[in-house]
Amino acid sequence: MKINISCLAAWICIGVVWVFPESSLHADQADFQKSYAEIKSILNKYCIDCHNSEQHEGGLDFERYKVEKDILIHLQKWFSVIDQVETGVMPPEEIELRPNASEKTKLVSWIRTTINDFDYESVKDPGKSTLRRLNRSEYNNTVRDLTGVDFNAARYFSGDGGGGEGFDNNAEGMSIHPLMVEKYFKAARDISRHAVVSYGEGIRFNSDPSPTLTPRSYHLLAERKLSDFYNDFIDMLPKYDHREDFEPYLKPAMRLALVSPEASHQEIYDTAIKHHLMPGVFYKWYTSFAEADKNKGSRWNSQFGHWVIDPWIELYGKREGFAETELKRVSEDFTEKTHFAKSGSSYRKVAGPSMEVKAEIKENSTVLFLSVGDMGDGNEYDHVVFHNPQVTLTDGTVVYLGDLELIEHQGNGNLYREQFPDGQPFVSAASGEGEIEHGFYIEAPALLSFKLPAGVNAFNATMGMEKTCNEKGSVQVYASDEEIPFPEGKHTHASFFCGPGETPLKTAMEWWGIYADLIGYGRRPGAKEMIDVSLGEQDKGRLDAIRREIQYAQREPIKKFFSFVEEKDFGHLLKTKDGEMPALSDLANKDRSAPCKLSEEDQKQWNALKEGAEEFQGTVDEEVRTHLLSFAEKVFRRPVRDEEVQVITDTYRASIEDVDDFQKAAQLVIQSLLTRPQFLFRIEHEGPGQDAQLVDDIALANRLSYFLWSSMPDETLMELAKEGRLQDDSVLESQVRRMLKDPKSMSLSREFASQWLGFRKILSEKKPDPKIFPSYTKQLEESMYQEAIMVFDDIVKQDKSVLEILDSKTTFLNESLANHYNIQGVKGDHMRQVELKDDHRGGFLSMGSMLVATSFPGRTSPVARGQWILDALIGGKVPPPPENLELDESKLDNRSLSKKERLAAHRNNFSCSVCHDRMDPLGFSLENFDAIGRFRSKQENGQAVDAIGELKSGQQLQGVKGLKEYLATTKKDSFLHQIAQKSLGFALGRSLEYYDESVIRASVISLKENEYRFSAMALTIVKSYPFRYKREQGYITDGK
Amino acid sequence: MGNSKRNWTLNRRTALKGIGGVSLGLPWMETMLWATAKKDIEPAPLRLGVIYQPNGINPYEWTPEGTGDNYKLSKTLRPLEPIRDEVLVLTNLNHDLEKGPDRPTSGHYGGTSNFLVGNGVKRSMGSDIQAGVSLDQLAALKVADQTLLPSLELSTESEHTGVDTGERITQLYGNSISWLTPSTPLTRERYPRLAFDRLFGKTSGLGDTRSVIDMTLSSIQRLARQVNQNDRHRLDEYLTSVRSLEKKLDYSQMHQRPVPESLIKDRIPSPGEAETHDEHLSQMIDIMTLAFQTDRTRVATFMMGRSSSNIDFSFVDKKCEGLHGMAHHVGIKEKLEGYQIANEYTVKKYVEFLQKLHAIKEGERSVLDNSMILYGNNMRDGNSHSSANLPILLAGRAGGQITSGRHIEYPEDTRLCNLYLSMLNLFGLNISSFNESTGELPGLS
Repeated sequence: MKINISCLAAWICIGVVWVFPESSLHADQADFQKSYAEIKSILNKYCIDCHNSEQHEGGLDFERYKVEKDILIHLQKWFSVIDQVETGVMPPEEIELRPNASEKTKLVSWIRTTINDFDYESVKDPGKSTLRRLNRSEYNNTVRDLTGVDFNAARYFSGDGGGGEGFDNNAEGMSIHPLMVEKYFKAARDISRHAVVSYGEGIRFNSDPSPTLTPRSYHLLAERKLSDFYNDFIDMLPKYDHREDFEPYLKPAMRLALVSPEASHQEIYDTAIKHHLMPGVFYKWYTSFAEADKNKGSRWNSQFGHWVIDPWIELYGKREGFAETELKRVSEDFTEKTHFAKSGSSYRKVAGPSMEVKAEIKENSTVLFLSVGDMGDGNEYDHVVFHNPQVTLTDGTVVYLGDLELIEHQGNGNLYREQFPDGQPFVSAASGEGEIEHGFYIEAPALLSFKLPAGVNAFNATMGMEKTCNEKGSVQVYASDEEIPFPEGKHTHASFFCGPGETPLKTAMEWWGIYADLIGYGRRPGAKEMIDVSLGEQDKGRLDAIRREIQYAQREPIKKFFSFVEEKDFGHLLKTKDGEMPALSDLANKDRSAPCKLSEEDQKQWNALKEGAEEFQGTVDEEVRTHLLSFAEKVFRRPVRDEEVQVITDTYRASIEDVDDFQKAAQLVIQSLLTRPQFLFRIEHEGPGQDAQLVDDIALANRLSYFLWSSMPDETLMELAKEGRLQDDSVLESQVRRMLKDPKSMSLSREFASQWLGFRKILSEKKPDPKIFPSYTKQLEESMYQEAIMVFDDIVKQDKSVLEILDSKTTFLNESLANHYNIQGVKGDHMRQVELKDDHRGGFLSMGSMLVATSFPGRTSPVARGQWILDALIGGKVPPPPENLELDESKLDNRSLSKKERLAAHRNNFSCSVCHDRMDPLGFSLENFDAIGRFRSKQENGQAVDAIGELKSGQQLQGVKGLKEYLATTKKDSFLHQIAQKSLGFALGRSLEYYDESVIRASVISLKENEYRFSAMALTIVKSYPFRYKREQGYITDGK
Repeated sequence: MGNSKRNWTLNRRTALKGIGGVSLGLPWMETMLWATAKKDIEPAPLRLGVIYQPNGINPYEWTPEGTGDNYKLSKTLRPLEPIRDEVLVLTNLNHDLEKGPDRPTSGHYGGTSNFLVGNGVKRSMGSDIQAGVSLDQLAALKVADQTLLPSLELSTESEHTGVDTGERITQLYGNSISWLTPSTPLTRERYPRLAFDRLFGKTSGLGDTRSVIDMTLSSIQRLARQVNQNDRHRLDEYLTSVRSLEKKLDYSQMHQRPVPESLIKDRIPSPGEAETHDEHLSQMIDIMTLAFQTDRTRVATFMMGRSSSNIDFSFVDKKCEGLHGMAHHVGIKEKLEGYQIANEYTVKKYVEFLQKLHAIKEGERSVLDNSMILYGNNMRDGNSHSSANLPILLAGRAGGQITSGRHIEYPEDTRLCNLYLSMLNLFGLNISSFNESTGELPGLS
């Protein structure tokens, strides 16, 4: 094995894992110079010959480092010095004068101490800020939030440059070129074609391109909006058929009427809200109860109406000190009676035996009372037939009513116990077969009392109106073991029953009428009025806008003008090719002389009407202009400046003159807003000074939303920013917490985690070989990706410990992924959270997506996995293998050797082992997972899996469990440092500098003090100096 | 914009007139687009095309035996047979292999960006990327005003967006071989349909777009006055790009003749991704052919894969797998076999392009005769990443200035930039050096 040394020296190897003490020493400059002097003597002796200001081999010049900060600024170089010296690569073999072991140790530990102990807090620098373009995802998300439609507008854009900490939101790498600009223009054009601009309502977007509207169709559309508006609410109104829709209103409305018969609107409104009721409907119920007494001669003036409302009027009359139980009874009674009349209830089947009459009999009762009332409307035709009336004994024995002793029959109607009055036997129409039943035919009014045998516990019968009845028949029936009065007039306690024919329907209609009258049911007159009363501020605004819209769409003043023109025989002026009215300006300009041919009178009128029309047009244009300006504010993500107002206004006016159509003109303005740098870039104001400035509130709102949502700020953020409250720490904190809970924070998983951890790769470049792994389907791949997204999102949304990235007791699975993991009991395609029972899974180390992303298409790669763990999770950088490497290929190609034995070829060589000693053991501990993430005990070549990774320290990692333990304990600080560093890099969207270390350290401390919760880190970053500050234009950097 | 009724508000009628006017009256002969329209006035234009293939080749099967016109095609180059008279095989060309650790000239990422530049790239994590102006872009500058697009950049894969923390280099160096300026690499179109539409799409609604362009330009200019030097640079990029769009519109309104329907009728790719990689390559090759034939552009570069591309080649042969995986065959026989098959396939696609160009006549010659079509790879050996003696082919006669059909073996470590310098001068630039060139490459004519 041979290594080209000069080549090895060429790449810069950074091989330390950076662990920091929580507190740092504040060595002052004098102390530093003193210790540096000693180090310089070592450097001068062994290194300076090649690495000086004239001959800076490998880009390294030791003479340039004068003070402590110089070293920090070029941190990466000094890391590589550590590496080169520790591995013995430097000084090169051919140099005879070499440092001894103690000199080496001294040099290396001095560098480490200097880097570790530097007082990073002392350097206040927000870092270089570059004008940031929205990257592809940010563009997509911003358009989504701007328009409310998820167009995926950037799907054909090219990817963005990676840089800094490895994220595609890194501003520095995002250049702009012609192809991209063509795509921006095309996207802007496409998006703007989806805009629907309306005079009254503003700008909305449809998922389909919006059609071009003629003034007439525009008007029709506006009218339809109004009916749609009401229909939406009417759909929400209580339905006559649904008892539960109006029931909740009754008791609260009754109570309020009792307590406060002259309640204020506010009181009514508040009560409704308290009970989660629609205020408008509640208002109607309240007034109908409070005014029932007044209306009993009108609205309730019917047999049915009285029956329903009288108990309430009675209660209302003695409202001073009413009893809650009374209220309950009356409201239930009201419900019962009105419910009875609802469509679909038993009254429709009334021609046959169709209604149950029941009574519970108390243990020691001796008499059964049965009352049949005539409803007080006269008793002609009022009768009822009981089919199989019977009492039931506790032992189940049945005794028919006819077999009981009739103690008393009050009332002068007839009673037939054997047969119908016409002599026919009791056969119900319903039984059909002509089977003879036990029966009782009673004419109202009547009160019967029967003697009960011992042990009766229930009475029941089916009743109907048959034979002699007609539609006028109506009875009330009641059964009880307690004495009841003779049924005179209407009864509040009895069941209500009607004869066949139209009567029941009429009764129902009667109730329907009262009900509709009460609450404006359906599309009947009154519904709109009622809805108007129930509208909240926002809906009221919408309604006003629609009404205004219709007014504009009617174009009355313009029509008047044109019909005048036509009337005066200037109709030829109106003829355009599509038969539509021409633009006002067109007409006015085309024929200024037209009025001259008119009489003085007509000319006056011409002028007046024309003025009116123009004024109207002006008002309408002003509305559209206002909408465009408020849209522009969203596009720019900041208030629109005066000169921009001017530009937008001019653009709109010029466009409307050009295209004759306000919709198209507005779309053109929208298109032009979307290609402006104010939209495509994130522009922050930069002061002229030489210092750093606090970013303004608006910029802070943008920084927050692009960090946590990868999208534009929402209204809440913008409002807070405009009010100047966002800089307040407590406001900032509550906003961050709100944003993390918002669904949009999913972007942290999609954009941040997927790039940091690298699982995004399974969607593009990392594809297992389908010949070897046929079970790895597209669907499984998608499930794996979703699992990773959802697990990270869960950490964010539930504010869990970031250590769950390393290990966790839960994950998200669907059936196919669960099968893949050999986990039982998960059915169906949807992903859901699953408790994990064994140690294999949980955390990203043993997640399918990560295991695939770190494998070769056909097999696992302990090297790649080890490198990923070092690189992504604990921040140990690994250089690429040297070029022109000559390996002992016989060993690498020998399939009979285990992977470990083959890789030992690397590790036996000093130059290779520098890095492989660190990578390979970590990777080996994951060998129990194959290249598509299945758990296994045998390798590809059939040998048993050896999942023990032996670290250089001699420590052994026993499989994935050992690895997780090692990372969560020994490497915990490195992991925390790494996630904080990556998050900061993503948040700032730039390469990190040495002074950013203070924020990283503060984040680590904050994580430790707050149970490692994600929010703790996010808050520290958001409140940090670089996040809140910005360099001014003339900022003097410290010399990098 | 105080004066709102500026020139851009040309109304619909004028715009319609503009478009309608040119479409009338010019008879088209499908196969001789250039010759018909302009042959009496000026000679046919020269075209410059580049077909780039990543991940090296099998170094043992590339170089032909013998030199001159009687050389014996190697295994990999055998697909050239039917068109060998039109191709030069150039051996021993490469970039400067060593420019120091801060200026990589090879490797996957740096090597890709450096391929048409030859200056090395700055080792950068993204904050200060830098290479140089590439061969194609310098050529495009020369003819920018004469066609719809100064140049066409095509690819097949989405971009790398990460960084290589080990090599301390941003992966965006692996995305493009074309550099507009030393700090602006060009993104590439990978959707065949979008590339097609960009060249031949309908241009209705130009009036709209023009006004939007105007507004955008003025807002950029206004903004540029308020930002610092750095940011102004970025805005300049934006401004320049918008201007190029404006030029494109100008050109299409003023000079462009419509393409006859019959020529493109069955050649419009369907939207979205191509069904297979093979189809993807063929569609892009066809689009470049059409673009050259109809003189929509004279410079086109096509990356058949991005750096370290792992496109699965099993559609060619079941021995094949992901390209990058096969390139690192570490001597394993099956992998090397698959790699070899993929190498040959790639040459076949190059030949497919050449044959198409060769079949289109322009007066006495073919479009290929009036072209220089480079084939190249930024590595020789995909396994070791060795970048000495790159695999380089040059087809076409540059309007009769090149004598093709030969294998030329240059002294070892001859600068590839010398070839580029010669190509640029044949293209009409008249320059004395190109990046690390040491002089023109002899023996081409």
